Amino acid sequence: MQLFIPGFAKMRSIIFLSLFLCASGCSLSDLVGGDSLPSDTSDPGVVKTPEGALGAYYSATVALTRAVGAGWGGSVVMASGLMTDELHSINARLLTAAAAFPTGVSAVDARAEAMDKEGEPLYNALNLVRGRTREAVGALRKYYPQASPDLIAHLFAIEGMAEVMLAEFFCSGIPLSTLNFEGDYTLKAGSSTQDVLQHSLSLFDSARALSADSSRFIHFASIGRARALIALHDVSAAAQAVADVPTEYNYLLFFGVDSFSLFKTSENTWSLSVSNKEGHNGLHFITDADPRTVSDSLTGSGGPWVPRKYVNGGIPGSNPGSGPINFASGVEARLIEAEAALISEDGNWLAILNKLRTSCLEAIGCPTPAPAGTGGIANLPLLNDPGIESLPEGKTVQDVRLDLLFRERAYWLFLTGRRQGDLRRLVQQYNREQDTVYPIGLWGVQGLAAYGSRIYLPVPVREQETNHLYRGCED
Amino acid sequence: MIVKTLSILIMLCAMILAPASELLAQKGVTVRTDEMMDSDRQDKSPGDAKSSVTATVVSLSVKDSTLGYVLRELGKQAKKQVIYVNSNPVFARRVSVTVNKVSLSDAFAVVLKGTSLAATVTPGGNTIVISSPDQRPETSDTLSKKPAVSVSGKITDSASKLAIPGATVAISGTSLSTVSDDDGNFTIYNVPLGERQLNVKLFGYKSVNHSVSVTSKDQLIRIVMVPIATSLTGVVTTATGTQRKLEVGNDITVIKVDSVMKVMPVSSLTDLLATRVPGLNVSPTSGSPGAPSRIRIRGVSSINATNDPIVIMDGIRINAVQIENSENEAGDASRGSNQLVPSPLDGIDPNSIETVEVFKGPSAVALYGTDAANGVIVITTKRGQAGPTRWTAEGIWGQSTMPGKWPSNYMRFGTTIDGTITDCAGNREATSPFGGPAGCKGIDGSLLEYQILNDPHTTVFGKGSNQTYRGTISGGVRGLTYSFSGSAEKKIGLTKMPDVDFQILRELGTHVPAWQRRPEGSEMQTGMGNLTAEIGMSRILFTSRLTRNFVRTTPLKQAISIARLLDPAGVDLTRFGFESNPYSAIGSGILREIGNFREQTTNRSIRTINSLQGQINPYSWLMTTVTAGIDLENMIGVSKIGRGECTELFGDRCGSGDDLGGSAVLGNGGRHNTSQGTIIQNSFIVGASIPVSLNRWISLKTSIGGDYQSRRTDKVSRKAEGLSLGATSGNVADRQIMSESRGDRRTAGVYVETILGFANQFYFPFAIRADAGSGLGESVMPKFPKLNPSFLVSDLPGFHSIPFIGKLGTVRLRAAYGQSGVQPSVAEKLRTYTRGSGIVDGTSVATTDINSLGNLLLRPERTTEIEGGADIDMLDGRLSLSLTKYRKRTLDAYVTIDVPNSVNGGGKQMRNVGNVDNSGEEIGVQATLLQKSAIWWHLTFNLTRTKNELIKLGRDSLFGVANGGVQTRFVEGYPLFGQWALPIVGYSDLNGDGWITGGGLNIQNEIQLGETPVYLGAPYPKYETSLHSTLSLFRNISVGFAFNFQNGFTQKLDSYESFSGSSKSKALNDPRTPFFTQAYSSAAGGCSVSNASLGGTGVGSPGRTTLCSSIGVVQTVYALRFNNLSVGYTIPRSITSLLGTGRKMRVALQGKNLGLWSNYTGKDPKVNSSMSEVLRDTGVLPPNREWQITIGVN
Repeated sequence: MQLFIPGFAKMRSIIFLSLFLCASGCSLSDLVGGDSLPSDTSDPGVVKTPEGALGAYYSATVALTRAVGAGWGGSVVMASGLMTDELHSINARLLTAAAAFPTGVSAVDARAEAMDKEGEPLYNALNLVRGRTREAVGALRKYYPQASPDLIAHLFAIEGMAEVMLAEFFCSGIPLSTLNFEGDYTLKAGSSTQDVLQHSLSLFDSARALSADSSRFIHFASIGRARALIALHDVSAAAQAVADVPTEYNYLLFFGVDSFSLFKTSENTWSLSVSNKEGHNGLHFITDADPRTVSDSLTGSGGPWVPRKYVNGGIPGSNPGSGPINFASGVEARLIEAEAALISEDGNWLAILNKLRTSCLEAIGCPTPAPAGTGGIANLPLLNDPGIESLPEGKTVQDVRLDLLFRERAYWLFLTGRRQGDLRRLVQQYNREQDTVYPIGLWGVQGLAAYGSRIYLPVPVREQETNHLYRGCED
Repeated sequence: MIVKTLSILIMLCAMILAPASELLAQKGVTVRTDEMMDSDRQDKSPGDAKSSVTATVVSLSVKDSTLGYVLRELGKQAKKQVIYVNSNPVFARRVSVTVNKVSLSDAFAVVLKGTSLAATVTPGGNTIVISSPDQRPETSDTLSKKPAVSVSGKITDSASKLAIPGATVAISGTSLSTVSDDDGNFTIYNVPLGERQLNVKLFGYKSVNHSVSVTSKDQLIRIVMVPIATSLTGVVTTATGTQRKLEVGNDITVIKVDSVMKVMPVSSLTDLLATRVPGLNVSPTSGSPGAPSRIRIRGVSSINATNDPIVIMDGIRINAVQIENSENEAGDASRGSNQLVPSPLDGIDPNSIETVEVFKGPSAVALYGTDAANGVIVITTKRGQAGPTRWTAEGIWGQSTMPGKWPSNYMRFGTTIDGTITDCAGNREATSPFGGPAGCKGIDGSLLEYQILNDPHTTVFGKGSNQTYRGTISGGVRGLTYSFSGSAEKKIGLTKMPDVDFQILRELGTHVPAWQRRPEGSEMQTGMGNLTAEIGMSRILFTSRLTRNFVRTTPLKQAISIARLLDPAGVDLTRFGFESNPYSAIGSGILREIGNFREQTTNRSIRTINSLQGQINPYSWLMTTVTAGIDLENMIGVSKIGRGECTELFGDRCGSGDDLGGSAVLGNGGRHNTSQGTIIQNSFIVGASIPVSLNRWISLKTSIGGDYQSRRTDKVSRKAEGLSLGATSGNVADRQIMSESRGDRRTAGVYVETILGFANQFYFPFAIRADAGSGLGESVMPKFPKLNPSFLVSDLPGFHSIPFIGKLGTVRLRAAYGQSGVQPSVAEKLRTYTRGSGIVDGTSVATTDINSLGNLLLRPERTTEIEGGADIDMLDGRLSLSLTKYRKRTLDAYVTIDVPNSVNGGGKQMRNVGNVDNSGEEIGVQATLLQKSAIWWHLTFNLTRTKNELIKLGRDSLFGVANGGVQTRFVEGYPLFGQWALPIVGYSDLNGDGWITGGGLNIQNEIQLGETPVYLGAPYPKYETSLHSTLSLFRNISVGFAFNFQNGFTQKLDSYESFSGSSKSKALNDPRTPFFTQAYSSAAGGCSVSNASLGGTGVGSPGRTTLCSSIGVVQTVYALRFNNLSVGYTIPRSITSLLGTGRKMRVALQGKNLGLWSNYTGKDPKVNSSMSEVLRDTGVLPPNREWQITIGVN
């Protein structure tokens, strides 16, 4: 067909213009602003600078601080205290709920009455730590490559610590999903408790390798590695891991004077109290008047009891919990060595414990100043080997020595989130009857509900609802 | 970058305008002087009629005029008609000519020099044809050296008497044919002698067969064509400009507003759209004045992104985001559900609109690009016409009422053993037919039935009223026209302070302001004007609109919600024969509700929409448009209650709430919330169209263009509590907070469209648009293609000889394919951070915390639509049928999912995980049943079937929103927003007390629930049909009515409690209630708590305890509504002359919402407590019944 010539010329001009138009289309995204954000939206660019990357690093460390001590409705210290004999709730709302639904509240069944939705806040807080460490590692490597490798080492150690705590608190079958820096996320199926701990060991190893120049972070990673190992019941390896950690070492988590909420719940009320012989099996944290656990009465006579070590400036009732938490210390290193010595029947275990009692320094977290009338560290008597005394019925020498060791751990590591792991180890590794270790019977100041039978928290239902790979707890 | 791209667009415009002529001049025309001269010589032959023509002496001096103009002027001087094909660009060429007293042939020789054209005089000598050789008849005929006969003529419209261009004229039995030019002229050369049939056809006109005796003389014929009514005539306004409806292969509904408003009451734009567009569904949120409506076209596609169509008015995009009352939009004072933000659509006075066109899906709107997947509504406002000034005026006065009664609440009383009257709802055993030992002792007649909303003393509903005044004035001169319109509207809602409360307050000496007595109302004033200037072939249109809107509302939802719950004991038991009210002081149960009326909630807005549209056609073959516009609205929302307004008299109903956090109950403290916001919608559009005629049968029209749209919202909000006594300003409040928010959303795109036309019969448009959106980022630039052919099969030769089918008048087949998209907000895509602080090693540090995970992989939600159908006109256009079937699939639907907690502690993220199908059929019928001089009866009937199905949901498929025993779920194979609840698998009166009890934890006692939730239905009608009738009698009486029927949609019954498990329900108080009803009522009884009995975010999730089921509350509904009735009378001029006006006057009595027949056990199923996709009638004022009188003069 012969085209009408003028029309054909027009068509060519149209084609030309169209091609030009298409070419100009490449800058359409510029016209609409591309990735520019509304002015009230947080700018993604803030992380793309050395300062931003450093901020991401601090964000991860602060996330750890909050997960350990300041979670509203769920923190490691709170959860550990409530599930064990360290703390009990005085929250009227929770008590009422427990009374109304004595068998229907699984949080009670899991012993942690303050754990809304079976410990979901704690689970979230620890996974937030994991997510932020991954984000910070990516940001530091890409936008602050000249930063000290110690920072990344520190982040690996923090992530490892979060995984150890997940393993200590939650059932076997924990999904270690990952947040990918500047990307999507990767969902994971549940990992067994052993696998989680093994994974944390690899993180601690990475941390130790990277932080060759920083003894502070090496010690932190070493203690984390030891924690994972004792959770795997490899106590001798744990002792080797912390052999280089000096007794004076500590790793403190600080809180703002006005913002710390260790003993507050979402209702913003003073709602926890230190326990005394909680649930028959509990230790006498109040009446023992031990300087390591000394607590003050909030009312002046009787409970609730506030741990003095977490009261800023020693003023009861004001900013409770604003004092730092000694999250990892040389004391714990020595306690691990003592446990290894005890298991290997090395007679040195008691000497290690007694040396701690006599050489406690302010730097390692001894209560300072020693409260008047409590005797202070200097007044702590030396321990005797209970194995050479008359043994209680049904107990072996090793049993009573372990009791003493774990009691020392309970007092030295009081309200640092270790008690749950310890009691769980007593049951799972040292074959203690659960009812002889965990609190039993009725709980709460009014004794309204019975403790449940779990020694761990289930992974929240929401995980199963949203993670198609997850199949629930394995145990 | 914006400047850079704008400059590119400007360059583009310049290229379109400037160089094309040069291209054409250089390559398009060749000079053939010899032939022209030859023809000229031939024209000069003495004795020939033509020679005298060519010898005519002419003079002309013009500068920079088109060649066509010059030729016509020369022809005029010779008193001859000059014919040429004006699609040839040569005739648009600008020339300057000076000839003085030369022969016409010499003048043509000068003028046509350098072109390939030549002048030919027809044998009769009356017409001069300018054409190129290949367009001319044989040269021998041209010059009439040998006998030749041509047939020429002019075609005109029988009604308008105007010339008809484009008609096909053919000599039957030969291959001779031609097409009439712009002036309606045609010439066919070389016509064989003898009796011939001239066949003239043009779509929209009745074909003409004209007998011609072709003799040796030239024939000049006048042909008059009679227009026929067809649904395919007229034009539609597409993204590329005006197109003939026939050329577009989509079903596009065009509403001519005046023709509707003449016979039906139309109070708003959404009112106009409702029931008139097949496939378009309108759901009002409530019957309150100013309440917005939800508009959905061809189902819903998005789970989390918007399902709203976009709106274009006079070429620019305007803000049409219908927001729910509590949404945090500019101007909303965010006082919970009390605030009412006026609908931006209903702020447009329908009286100022000429047409509304609805483009229903991506196959029709692909060139609008991102954001248009849910359809486009195109509004064209009225324009002035040259001529004497015309004006119209109209006044409307109306009254509204609440139709029907509210269902009663019930209460059963007993007397305890100590004689105390007590509520037996919790102790039914005692009042059961089987008796009971303690608590209640049954007493006959103790079942009380009451509903304060039906009691004239206590009801919160009165009569509403409305007044509307409208006027238009238009006119102008040739080249400059204008149109101005204005309206003022005032409405008072139904809500009122109960009479008993007013009486009590008055006795207490409390002043009750007028606004408290009638707390609901709206006022709106609009003014609009446009100016159209035409200069040569170019036109400039400026339109400006100003609207002032004021809405005063009330915590009405609370009032209805609470009032419906009031049991008889809360009122006054003395009226039921009890000596005293054992529960409360007289009326206190009602009185405390009136605290809600103490809250004054208002929203004022000023909105201006301005558009400037330039149509510049520098050449006949090039049409360009440049449009710029802005839609700017400023709103101020205020919600306040003065100190002391809330007293113990009103309990905690007044001013309750916690706006500033903490647990403070406002009580006497007072509160003042203010919010001010601005919405700015900017548009800039350029486009150019180039029509090309490849030959007589094939045409090509190519359009290119681009647009830029932006929508920005800015809002500042302050909330203040604790006012000083007597203070009215929030400035003196003891607690204040401020917040500021902004939103920014932009799109830009370019497109190319080509429409290939064959013989005015087959049109093949195809196009593609490339788009960029602010929410998509640089890496994503979707391309949206479109293809929508249209085939006028009835114009095929021999069609009308086909049995049966051939009887049909006009048959058009059409098909369409297209894509469009929806973009997310920017923040959905990117991982965002906030700067925070914390303490590390005892030192305060700045942290960079993840704020939202974002999803860098987010793609645009893309909807693909395939549409096919037919348009059939028969019975001389008295019956038109439009059949359409469509299917659209949305891929990569946005879903905001719960991120697993193991990822950064959980959170939300938008993902592309869904595929959604919408399919359906639409049938439109227009029938003129009677068409006599004294009576004319026209019916419009629409039928729509819509099927919505979630085809695929990705890995994160288990989610939904629980809402007290019923859950909105998204399940593959089911519609979006489906309602699910646990089934009742059995019930029995185990304890023999005559009651089926259950609810809450006890539900398993006498009611057995299934373990797996079942699908109950979805909130959109499966079928919708409407019927509009217009009857005209004696040319001055009109009667109109309209019905609408919807079927197969779910509505959650919250408006009252009789079937939802409340202790006030009949089922739980009247022992005569069947067990079946008791079971379904009781099962819902435990669902009012927020325990989300179905298990939070996961129905039937492991570890969740099932407690209740609201299966009886979610109802699948049909509803037949008598929408409108209108009786109008046009007063003859003979009478109006007596009144001294002599003008045309019209009086009409019109009613709306006059009847409802439904299986819904609530008040009205067609309401929604929010703009969400799930219908709930929680505390919503149902649609009013309205009557109004309209008087119009023009």
